[in-house]
Amino acid sequence: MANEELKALVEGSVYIMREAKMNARKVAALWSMGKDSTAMLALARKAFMKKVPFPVIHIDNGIDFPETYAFREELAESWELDLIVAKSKIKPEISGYSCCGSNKTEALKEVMKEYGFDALIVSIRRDEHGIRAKERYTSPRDKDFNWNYKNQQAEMWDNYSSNPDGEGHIRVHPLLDWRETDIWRYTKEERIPINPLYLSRNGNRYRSLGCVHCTSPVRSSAGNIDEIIKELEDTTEEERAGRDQDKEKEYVMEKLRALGYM
Amino acid sequence: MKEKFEGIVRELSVSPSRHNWERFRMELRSSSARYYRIIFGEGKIARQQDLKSSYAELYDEKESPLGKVPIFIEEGEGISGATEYLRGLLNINK
Repeated sequence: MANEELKALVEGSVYIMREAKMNARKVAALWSMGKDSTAMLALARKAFMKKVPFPVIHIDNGIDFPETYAFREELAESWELDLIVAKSKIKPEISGYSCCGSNKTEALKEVMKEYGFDALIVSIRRDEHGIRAKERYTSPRDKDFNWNYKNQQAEMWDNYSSNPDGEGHIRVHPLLDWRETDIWRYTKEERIPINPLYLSRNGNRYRSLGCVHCTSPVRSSAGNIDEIIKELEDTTEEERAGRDQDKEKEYVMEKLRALGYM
Repeated sequence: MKEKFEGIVRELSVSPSRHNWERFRMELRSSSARYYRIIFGEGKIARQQDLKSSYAELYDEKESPLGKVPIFIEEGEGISGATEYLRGLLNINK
């Protein structure tokens, strides 16, 4: 990929985040400590003079990988992030669907209400999952976090001024046009720190990170970013093949997102 | 030192209280534990009970097993995840 293409993606993301910061009353960003949301924070630092100017939320159900927690602490300190850790409760029934749908989304609803955020930056990409391809750069959610994906406004002439409906909020998606390899190229170019789980150990690595119980490693010998990019250029495997909620039927992810999941 | 760590690992299996997890955190740094692996009793966790039957196996530098610890904290009638207490260890990816 030419540097010009990556530069255009960066400029687009920076523009979207600046627009969100200017138009929204109170913005926050979701951070899972994965490659995408960490790249998004790096873009925010680029957009706002090396300082992320909004709080960063981690929805923590207590069963993320230990490396993920360590990475969170290190980067939050070195990048001086305003980190909000929203603890989600584990309910008696926690199947893949209800864990993400109920536990995490409920925790997100609580923190959004508590702090009064009206815009939430989420690092989803169109190429990750079919349902995410239906998203817009800015997408309204109602007060119950419901997403009516059949009724979204057109975003012509780079106009991203979706307004939340009453007590709802706007989801902002600055990485929508990025591909997995773009994220890795940008991560390499900007020397963005990464979670060590992405690198191969004992012939396996994690390609997409979630909680310990719903994420599986993939076979890989990629021990650095160049090798990851090379591997991705050749693979036919889906990025989220190791994620439980995506292995279930397509409508599960659609339903999760419609109910407010990230 | 080794016996103290092993003792806490055993106690955690019986009582995964926050107090015991804090003791584990204090001892983990000076222990020989370097790697971990999460093992689920029934594969995917479908109920809270499945989290209770899951555990983390700890390994030393040479990837020899050191013992097992639960991955939850028991607090009153509820439970919460405890993998944050394994911070500093690396996934053995096996």
